[in-house]
Amino acid sequence: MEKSTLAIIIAVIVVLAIIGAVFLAMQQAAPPTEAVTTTVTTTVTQTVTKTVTAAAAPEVIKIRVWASGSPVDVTRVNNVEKAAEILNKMLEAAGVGVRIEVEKQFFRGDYMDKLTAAFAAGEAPDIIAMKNLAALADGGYVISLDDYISKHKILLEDVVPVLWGSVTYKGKIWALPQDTEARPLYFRKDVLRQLGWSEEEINALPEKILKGEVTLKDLIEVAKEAMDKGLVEWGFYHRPNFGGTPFIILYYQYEGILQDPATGKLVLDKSAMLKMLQTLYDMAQVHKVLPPDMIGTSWRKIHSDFVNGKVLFWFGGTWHWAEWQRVPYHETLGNLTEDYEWENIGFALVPAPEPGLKPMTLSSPYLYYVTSQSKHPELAFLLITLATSAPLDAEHAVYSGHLPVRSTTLEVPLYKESKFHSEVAYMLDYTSVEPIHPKFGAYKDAWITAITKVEKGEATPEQAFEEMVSTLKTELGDELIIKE
Amino acid sequence: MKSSKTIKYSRTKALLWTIAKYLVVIIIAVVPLIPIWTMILWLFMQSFSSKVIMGILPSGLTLNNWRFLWSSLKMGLKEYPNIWPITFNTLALALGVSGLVVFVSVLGGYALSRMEFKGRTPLMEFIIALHAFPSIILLIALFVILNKLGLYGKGFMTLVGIMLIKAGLEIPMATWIIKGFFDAIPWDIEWAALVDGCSRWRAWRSVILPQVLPGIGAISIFSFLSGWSEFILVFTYVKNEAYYTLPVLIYHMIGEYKFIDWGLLSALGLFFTIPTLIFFSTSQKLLLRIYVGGIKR
Amino acid sequence: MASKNEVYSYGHEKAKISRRILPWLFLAPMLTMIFLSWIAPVILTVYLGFTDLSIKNFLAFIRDFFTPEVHITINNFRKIFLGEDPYISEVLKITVLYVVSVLSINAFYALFLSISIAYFIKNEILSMFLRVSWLIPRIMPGIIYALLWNWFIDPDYGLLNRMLMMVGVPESMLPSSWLLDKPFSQLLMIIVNGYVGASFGMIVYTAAIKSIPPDLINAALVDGASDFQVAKNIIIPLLKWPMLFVISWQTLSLLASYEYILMIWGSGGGGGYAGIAKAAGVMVWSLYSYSKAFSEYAYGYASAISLVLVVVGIVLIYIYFKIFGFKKLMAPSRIEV
Repeated sequence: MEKSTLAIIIAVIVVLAIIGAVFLAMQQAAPPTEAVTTTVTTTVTQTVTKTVTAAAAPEVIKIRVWASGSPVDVTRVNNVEKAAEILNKMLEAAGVGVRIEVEKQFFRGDYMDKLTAAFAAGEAPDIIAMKNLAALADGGYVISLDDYISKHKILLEDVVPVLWGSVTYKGKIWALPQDTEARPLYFRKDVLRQLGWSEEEINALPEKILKGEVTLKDLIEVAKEAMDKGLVEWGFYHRPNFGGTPFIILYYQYEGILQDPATGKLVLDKSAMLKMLQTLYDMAQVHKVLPPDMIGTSWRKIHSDFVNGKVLFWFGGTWHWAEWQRVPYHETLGNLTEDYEWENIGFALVPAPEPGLKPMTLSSPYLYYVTSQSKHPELAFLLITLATSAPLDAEHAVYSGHLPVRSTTLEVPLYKESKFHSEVAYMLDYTSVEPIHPKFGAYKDAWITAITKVEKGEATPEQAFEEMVSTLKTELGDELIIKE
Repeated sequence: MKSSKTIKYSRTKALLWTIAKYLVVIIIAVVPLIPIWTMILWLFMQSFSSKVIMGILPSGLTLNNWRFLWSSLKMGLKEYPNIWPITFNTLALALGVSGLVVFVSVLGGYALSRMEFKGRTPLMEFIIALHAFPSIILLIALFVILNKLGLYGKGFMTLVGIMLIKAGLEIPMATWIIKGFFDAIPWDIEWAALVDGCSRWRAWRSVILPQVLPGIGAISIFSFLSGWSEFILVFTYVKNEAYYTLPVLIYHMIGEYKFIDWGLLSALGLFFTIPTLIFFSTSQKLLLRIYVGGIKR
Repeated sequence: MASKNEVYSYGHEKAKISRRILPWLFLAPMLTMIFLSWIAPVILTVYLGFTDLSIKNFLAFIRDFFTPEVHITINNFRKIFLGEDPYISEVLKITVLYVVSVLSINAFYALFLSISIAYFIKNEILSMFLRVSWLIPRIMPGIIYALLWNWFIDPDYGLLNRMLMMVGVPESMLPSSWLLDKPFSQLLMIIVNGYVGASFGMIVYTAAIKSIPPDLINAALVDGASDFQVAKNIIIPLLKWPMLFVISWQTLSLLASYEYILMIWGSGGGGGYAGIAKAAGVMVWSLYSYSKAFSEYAYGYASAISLVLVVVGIVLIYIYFKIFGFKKLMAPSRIEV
């Protein structure tokens, strides 16, 4: 084709395309996929027969809620809608001519940009669900809820107490926990059987860990035995980058704290940090039950190895139970069945590192907020309170694979029916939370650097610790308190 | 005799020098290319195989890696949006940038080339200066500007905003190139047309324009590819997955903390590179001229 | 007739005015776009560099440009120049390492590269093939280039480690992670950018070499010079100006570039914005500004960091204009003998 003919064709296409694109832009093309917008009206229907004061049209209060997550998490918005339905029924019974209408939007990924745009235009929703508390609070996106909480204290008595720590920032409470999870220690029952453990002993293990009768030191010995006998490639696996388990958990177990309750500053407890680094060093370099290059391994390899029984212990999360059923990691079975899991995989709290210390786990809740542009803040607050109460909390937890945020949820029949959920529920009594601080990111960076070095044997715990301290001192300045 | 010995000696010397020369060429110019060639080979091999041996030998030919064309993308537990809306977004962005750049630069290039006005030289110098200025450091200010214009977080409109910005970034170079094409047209042709009774506009349309069509073709292809491969603007300003473009999608798929399905990813990469391959094989000379004439980095 | 003259002069006036306006009409779209994409952002960057814009006052700022919640301050520059930001000196070191190393590839290695390809090799087809091959990293979409490198350095599936071992590099010297282990990560950063940058020099120098009058070279060859001697005594001295051009252009370009680093190190750590760049020691100046803005919402401070580059950029461009003059900047490869 002649060069100039080609050029003409291209030019024509281009001009047509501009016209087409402009046209489309004018149309404000509807988003091609997942942002679901549904308007649900929950007004009184005319078929209700017994109503006496039917005459006046009800005043409608519109509440908008935005949330994100994977498809199973859509209950995050649906539960607010159900909460509104409950309120509407009460209002109807009281003969009050007001109804609440909930408008939902559910995103699949990060919607912070849409939120910023909405705020800038003055069109922010009333309720949002996400994490990111420090940025939302500092940016003036959400309001503090202390007043409403004390006013409606009775409705919040059953919130799992430790979770309050995940919503408190700079002395105020900014959100209500929406759902959570926990981080247990998973173990391979089939390997333990091969080591000669009886069924009873295996089933009693979680209990013993809970009581502190079995510690991490003991399990390291078990791991060594399994490795020596060639039953597994490695004793322990943990996550390949920074996270709550086992790093923060170990630090907490050695009685360290990360945030000073009075000032909100970040804390480095020298003794606790040194001990947790020492533990990891011992596991990787001394007892050799942990791969030295654990940090940086791929997730696929981690899950695959554990699911195929090549690793005895895995510092994982409660959501992995469902993940193993949905993603084909197993070499022959593909997706695991629930039966296979109960048969071969057990879970317990993360055991105390040494006798005398406590077993525990960590949770990182998803949060509901009331935005600063809501015209009905107290109503929005009540809706999220209701949306996280027992029956609705149970529905979300069971269907989306999370843990509940209220202790009363554990008694709901739906919840009790789910074996996994029931057996894992006790962990909420032993859980902890991460600190909320804008500079925690820098803390974590320095921390993972130290962990990587000691596991690889590139530095002794003392050396890595010294480097961590000096990095933190320079990065955090006076936002850091060092405890000897 | 002395002379024949000298000749033999210098012949051997010349031979040695030739060998040395080729050795140098191989070491400097060929050996470093080995990784590049390997990578490209891998891209093609892996996208059609379920496994690759020794990195590049395919085993198990399959089209499974291309399943994203007809089903949704899944990596581990994370599910991604369907490929076609994302491709549409990328296409819209590329076409928009291309159309806008052609339109604006043809007008501007013509003015700079043919018209007399005050400030012509300083303007040309300014445009060249822009060419050298690194635009990528202005991302923060552009972020604020997008917000102020109400184009941030607005789905398709954000992509439109990005299109405007990207076009603006390409225009200095494009204008300069088109100006070059206009410069190459001798005045006489235009003069002849004018003398023959054409209006200036008519002369422009039927005499000048055809002469610069190759330039326009080159610019439009180049800006199209530029918009097609645009990464950082979309990555920074678009958070909603429904409005991703292909480069951003690929980036996120690499980043599933190394949860990588190399077959899927290579197929996706190859799919994305198709326009680049097409354009380069059909309009090589034209594009190389641009690369030679107006390189940014 | 009087009226005819009036008509004539009126039309003439009109033509004169329209002739004056017409160029600006043609230029208007271009000027608007340049204002939007270049001038406005630069002015804004200057302004923002002196403010404390962050997540705290961002919403207020969008609603009202002159909101009292945004304060004018020179704190950002104190952080940069007085060392109040402890990480800045590290960033500066990495940037210098990066620019100097990649520059030596782009300006010097490329010189030998182009002599090899454009002069030592006489076969046009072979030369073309090699030139196109070297252009591939530059022409390939950036994200694909990043994808290919991500694969290449993968310890299990990629070939880099295997190839190095084949040429005799002992396994113990190889890093377990090219992304995370310093100084391998930094070496990788230099190489990745070097491949892309080398083609710039190659093109400029090749054009220059091709424009050397053949008689010059032929005369030397007839006198018995080897190709090496020709390269050393004739070609290289003639390439002084092109070399200066490449060095100048690439310095500014490298100071501000971070896209490839972001694509490779950002995605490797599940950390979104420049996830593991800090740990890997590849946080160059421009990337630091980016990460400060978009990871930490510190827009004011990030703008100040960018502003330093903006100023450096403007100064350098001014210097280039002075040294090269307008003409040479446009045709650096033309050798005038």
